[in-house]
Amino acid sequence: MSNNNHKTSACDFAESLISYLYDEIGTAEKWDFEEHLKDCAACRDELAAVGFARTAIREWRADEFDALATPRFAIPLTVRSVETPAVTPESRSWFDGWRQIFTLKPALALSVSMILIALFGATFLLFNAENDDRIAGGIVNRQEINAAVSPTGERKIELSKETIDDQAAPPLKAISSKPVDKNASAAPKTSTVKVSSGTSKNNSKVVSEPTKINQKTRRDVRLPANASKNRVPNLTETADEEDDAIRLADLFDEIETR
Amino acid sequence: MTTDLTDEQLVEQAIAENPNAFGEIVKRWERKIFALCFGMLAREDEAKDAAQETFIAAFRNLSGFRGDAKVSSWLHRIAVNQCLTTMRRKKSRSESYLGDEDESAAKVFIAPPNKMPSRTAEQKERMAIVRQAVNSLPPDLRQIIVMKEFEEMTFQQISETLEIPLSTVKSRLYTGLKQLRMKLEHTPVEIV
Repeated sequence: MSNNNHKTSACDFAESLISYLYDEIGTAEKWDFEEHLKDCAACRDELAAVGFARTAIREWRADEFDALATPRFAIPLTVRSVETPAVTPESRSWFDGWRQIFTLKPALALSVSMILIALFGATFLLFNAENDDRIAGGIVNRQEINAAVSPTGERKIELSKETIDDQAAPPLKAISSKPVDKNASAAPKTSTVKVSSGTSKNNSKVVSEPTKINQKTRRDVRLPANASKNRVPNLTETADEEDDAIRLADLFDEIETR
Repeated sequence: MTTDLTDEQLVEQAIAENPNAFGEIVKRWERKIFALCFGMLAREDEAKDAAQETFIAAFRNLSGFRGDAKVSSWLHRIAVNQCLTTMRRKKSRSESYLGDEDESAAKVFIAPPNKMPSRTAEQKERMAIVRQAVNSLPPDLRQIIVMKEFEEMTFQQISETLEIPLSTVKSRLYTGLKQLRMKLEHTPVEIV
């Protein structure tokens, strides 16, 4: 049985004291130590001393550490790879600068790309819309499509007015070279018009190949020479007309009489 | 999901160059490693640098990680080495935490309860004394105290992390707290 003069020994009760202080002690061991404390002032003093130091540390931690935010640790992925010499400011070109911006900021790169695509798309659509408007005019009369033949033997095309679903296009007047076949005119989307080449009275060029005006898209398409004039042309048989401005002049200048 | 994996499995995935795996390891241990570094160095900026260097060194040496050791042990070992490197660097620049001139200035640790000076100034002074006292402890004793008080690890966890016996952990903690008490005590303390 221990007495009041018993000195706390690190070998005897140090572990129990520390375990008791931090409450990481078993029930039986705790009871034994508490019984010992009743009889051992030295152990009580030791317990108070280490408890005091522990309190001081806890105060220091609460005062200076607990309020600190956890810093963000960024681990560069290139740490594991072979280190390459750093690019000096003098050796960097404007392209490297652009590339660095888009590498570091994918969101920026994506948004810039989308804006550029939208701009190009809008420009392209506007350009096409202008040409379509000039050619088709939005008002075509299928019943009165006639091809006119100029006194010099050239055929001209003149389209008369017809109300179609295109409010933005200005009306054009053109006459097709032949009467429009009912089946062809009944074709929901297109009407076939022939134009001829050569200079017209108005000194405007006329396209020699027959053209087809797609009323839905307002784009002229060129039919192959062997295409049936009365049937609805297949899309695969057509080729896009690129020089709409020239054909438009032809349409105005050449008129074919029946 | 990387959150369901153990630390060791995450290291394996990180070695296989899964970028999310090491990020999960950092996320799990960043607070504890930061706490350890702060307790060892007692300065926020140095603790941040040491913790950052710890994770960078760990990431760089992933392939060298032995599967027989715990990831916590591995990270703690790297962190303590980083802290010791920082302390050696500071000593070589003649920076000290507790010199003789500082000891003479630290006269009273606990003010008598009947005297109430400005709490802010007193509190700051006390914390500075505690900080200096902890930093003056030997690194092995300081590490145990910091892991116990800052990281709030159990004795068993400390034993597994440092790969030392449980009794050694308790005995070092007891010795460290006693030495700390001796450094802090300048006037008789009234135990309430």
